Amino acid sequence: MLKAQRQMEDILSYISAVAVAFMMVITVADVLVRYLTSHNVPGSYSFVSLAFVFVIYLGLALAQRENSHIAIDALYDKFPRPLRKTLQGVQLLVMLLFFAGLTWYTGVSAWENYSMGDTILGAIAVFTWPARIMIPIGMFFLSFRFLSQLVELVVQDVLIEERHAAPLEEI
Amino acid sequence: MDPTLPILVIAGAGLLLALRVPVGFTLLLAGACGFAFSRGIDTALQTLGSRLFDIGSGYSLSAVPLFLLMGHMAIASGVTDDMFKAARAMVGHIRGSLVLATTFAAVGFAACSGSTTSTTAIFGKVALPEMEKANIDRRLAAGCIATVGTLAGMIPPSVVLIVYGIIAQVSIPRLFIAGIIPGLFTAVAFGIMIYVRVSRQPELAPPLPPATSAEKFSALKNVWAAVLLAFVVIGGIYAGVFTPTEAGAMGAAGAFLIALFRGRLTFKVLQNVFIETAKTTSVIFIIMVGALVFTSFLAVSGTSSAVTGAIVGMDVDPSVLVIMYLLLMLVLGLFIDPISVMFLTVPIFLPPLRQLGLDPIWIGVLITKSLEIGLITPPVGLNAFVLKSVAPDYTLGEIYRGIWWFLQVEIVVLAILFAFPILSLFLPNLMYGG
Repeated sequence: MLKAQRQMEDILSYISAVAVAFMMVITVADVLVRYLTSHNVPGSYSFVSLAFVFVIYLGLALAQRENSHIAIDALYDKFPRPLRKTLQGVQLLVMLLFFAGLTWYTGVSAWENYSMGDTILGAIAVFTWPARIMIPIGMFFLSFRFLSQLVELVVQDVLIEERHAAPLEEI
Repeated sequence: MDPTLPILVIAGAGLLLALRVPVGFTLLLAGACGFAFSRGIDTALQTLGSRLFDIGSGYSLSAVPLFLLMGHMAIASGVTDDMFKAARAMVGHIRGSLVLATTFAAVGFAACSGSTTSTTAIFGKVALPEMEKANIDRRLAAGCIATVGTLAGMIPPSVVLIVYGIIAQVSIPRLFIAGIIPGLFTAVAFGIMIYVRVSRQPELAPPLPPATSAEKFSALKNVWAAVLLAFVVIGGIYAGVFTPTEAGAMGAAGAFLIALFRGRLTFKVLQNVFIETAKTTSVIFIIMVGALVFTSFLAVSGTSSAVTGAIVGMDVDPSVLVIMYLLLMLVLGLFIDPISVMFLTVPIFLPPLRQLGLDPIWIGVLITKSLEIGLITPPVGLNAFVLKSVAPDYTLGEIYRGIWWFLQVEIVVLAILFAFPILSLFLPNLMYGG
């Protein structure tokens, strides 16, 4: 189960990596076509914007697994382990409930947009649902990661930072 | 307006942050709770739902991952080594030798990368071993590398400037151009400090034998592509040929081609470049989503306008307000990472400063400089930690002691940029009109 979860998170990160590459390629193509032919690649702005949604949300669960989300350690690190364990348990439970709720709401919202055939208008109309559906997918796997970290905390007595030291974020 | 709810929400967010709840999640949860208690659950969910999609589908924001990609690709292409070698060939024989070379190479690399921590990490790997071999004082070497990485925050294309431009809703090309003089000025100030220190204590950085003309030519020959790339990206934005998003994509594609022609690209390298870019983007933008929801709550609850009214109504000179704001940034920067500080404070404090007639471009440069200082000051000097992670045999004490000299220069430069807004505004006003 946990292996499948990791594999899914890795697959989502590959998809978001492909989305980054797609953003680069389609933007470069648009610039080149514009200067060579004075036309645009139809829908390029919409495609880039929608690919960006993939990039933001599909990497959330992997970042949580690797303890990469930016957080302030200054005070927390000074707490004794039992207190950190309690705080982390409460934190994971609250986050699990919050993001599970968001998964449901954004899922319903994506379904409604799919049903309505919501599009971004431009040279060509581009459906928004493939990007919108990535939000609940990202939220679902993030919630699932919170759940497995909560289980690890309670059953195996392992804190997140003991499995993954927080890496240094990029700024 | 009843201030009870906003105060509770802000206090709750502060508590969650102190308890190490990730910044993005904290802001998202606090903002959602604020909306739920003030406007009901439905409004809260609608606001969240629309913000979660809107932020991603904003075209101008997609410049950020593309500039991050350009930086990762430039590192993969190996241009950092070549820039360092070129700078060493040009200035290695004078006092300060490799320390000066590192500073000027970092300026060159900053023009290809928007990330301060990436710049520090890569120079920690490329320049630090060379400095050790040349018997450069350990503290001077470490301080230099931890600090010069911050130049990437000011010299375009800078991720920090893009994020500020988006939050403050000011022109990103204008901000990029505004960052050039302050960025170069900082590098020159570092150079002067290094030269003076080494002149007084020559044992800190022994000079290298002068490079021959052939060596200089050979070193310069290897950096022309990266210089051209930086010129095309920044020049393209200035000339209006590219939007910032397009410039990021062209820069990333250019860096990809450089890496390809140098034979540096393997599938593994490429995979790593794209995955790291995607992951960093996700981590930065969940904060942005959270900040957007949180500041939307502050706006609808009347908190933002109350703060604006209170600040504008204060009977003090606007420049005093700027000093107070910068001091707040510097203090917050001691504990919180710079991007979060910016997301938390700019939406609240910039509007009153604008209302008082202060130029948001100048404020942006000052904020960026303050955040650069936050990156090298303890206890959360992110660049010091980054250097420590790539050079584990250096202690944090050594790194911070090395930073101390550079920190003094940074504070003097911040004071000069504050006293002379023309340094930040001259180029953008010249190029785009006042």
